Amino acid sequence: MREHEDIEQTMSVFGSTVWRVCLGYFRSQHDAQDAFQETFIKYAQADSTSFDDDEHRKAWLIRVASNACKDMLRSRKREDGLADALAAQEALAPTQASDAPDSLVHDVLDAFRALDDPPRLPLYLSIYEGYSAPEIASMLDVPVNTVYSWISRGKKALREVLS
Amino acid sequence: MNDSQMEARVKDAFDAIVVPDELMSRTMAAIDGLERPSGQMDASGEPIAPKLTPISSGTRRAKRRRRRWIPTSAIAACVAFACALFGVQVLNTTPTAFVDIDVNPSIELELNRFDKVIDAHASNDDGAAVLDGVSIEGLSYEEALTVLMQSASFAPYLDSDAYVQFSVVTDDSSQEQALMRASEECIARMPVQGSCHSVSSEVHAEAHDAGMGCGRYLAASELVQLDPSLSIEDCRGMSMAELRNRIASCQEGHASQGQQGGGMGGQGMGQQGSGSGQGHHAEGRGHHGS
Repeated sequence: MREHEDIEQTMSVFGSTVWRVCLGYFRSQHDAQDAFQETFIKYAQADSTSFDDDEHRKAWLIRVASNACKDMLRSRKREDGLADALAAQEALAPTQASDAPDSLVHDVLDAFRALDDPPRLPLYLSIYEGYSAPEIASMLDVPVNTVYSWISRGKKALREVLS
Repeated sequence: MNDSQMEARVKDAFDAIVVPDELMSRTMAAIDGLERPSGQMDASGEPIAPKLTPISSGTRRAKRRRRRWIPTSAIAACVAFACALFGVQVLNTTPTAFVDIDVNPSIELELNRFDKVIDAHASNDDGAAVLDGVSIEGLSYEEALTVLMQSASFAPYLDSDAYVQFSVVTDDSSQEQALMRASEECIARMPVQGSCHSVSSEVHAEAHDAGMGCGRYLAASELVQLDPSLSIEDCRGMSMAELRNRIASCQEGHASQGQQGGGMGGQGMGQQGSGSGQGHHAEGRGHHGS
């Protein structure tokens, strides 16, 4: 298990990055919180994983957070079936006033969540985190041309929704 | 809304999202309360997190969970079938090559490893008008070119003064050769001048960042080098024929001004695809040609 200080420091530096990834997948604050917690538990336990620098650490956390969200979504589908998933969508908790977003933020998040994944995560990494297509390709272990395609397609879809 | 406005909006929205202190405290408390892990790893090499009481209530789902007994072999067969279907679907929908076609319309075809068109985009309004008039998704590359070149919306651009440039982007050399060959055959069938180049992923990305097809971007870059009074943005609205005419004029002007300077540095457009994208460059037959 990693040291308490290491985890705390990492969470204070990259917590918001992980939180944004989680909110990109879940409208429900509770689900996003579960994914956030899962990500940092994995970080705490990955004491044999070493990082070259903070960029490497950040990329690892983004990938783990994204995998945690996808796992939760898969598990939800398996357990609840489509009808329950739809019901869960209806019962989504409203965003807490303290941490949230005005309607502009909400619109952007909803637009992101409406995208398939991919291109959702590659688009977020490109637009917000500033990763280049080759960096995203390396992070997600896919051909760089595929990333270009995802980004191009994602931008088009996002622009249509936001317009 | 253009790309930069959209990106600014996305950045503003995500900038406003900050992880709540209370969530961090709760997560730290949960981690501090963990027992020492067993060191088990999952398939991706990530440690398996122990079960915590989830922040959200899982009771509803837990109640619904029922144990079902299904023969293992049946499950395995279903999984294998699903994997096979998924594999075919992935191969069919993953782009492995792009071909940009620049005349005045600029369009890009995305192709899968079987040279089937899986998507088509326009880089300008003329390109959008062309794509509005045809349906080429699912066609082979050759079929798609035939449909495009014969379409009522594209044919008017293919007059004798036009110049068509094909730019092939792929990491797969055999696919590159096949697409180059098909493109060259297409040029040969048309009453226009044209050329076909392979272009690197880097140039492809730069062109798309500039909002252009690769052929137009390469020609614009060459013209801007020869005539610094122009910008890439100025070239965006020029047809390929106009870009090439201007390049030729600039090269002639430079040549006549600097005779004693030896050979000019003006390089052919086909050589501009930097990095791994350099390679084939084929000029098509046409009335301006030899």
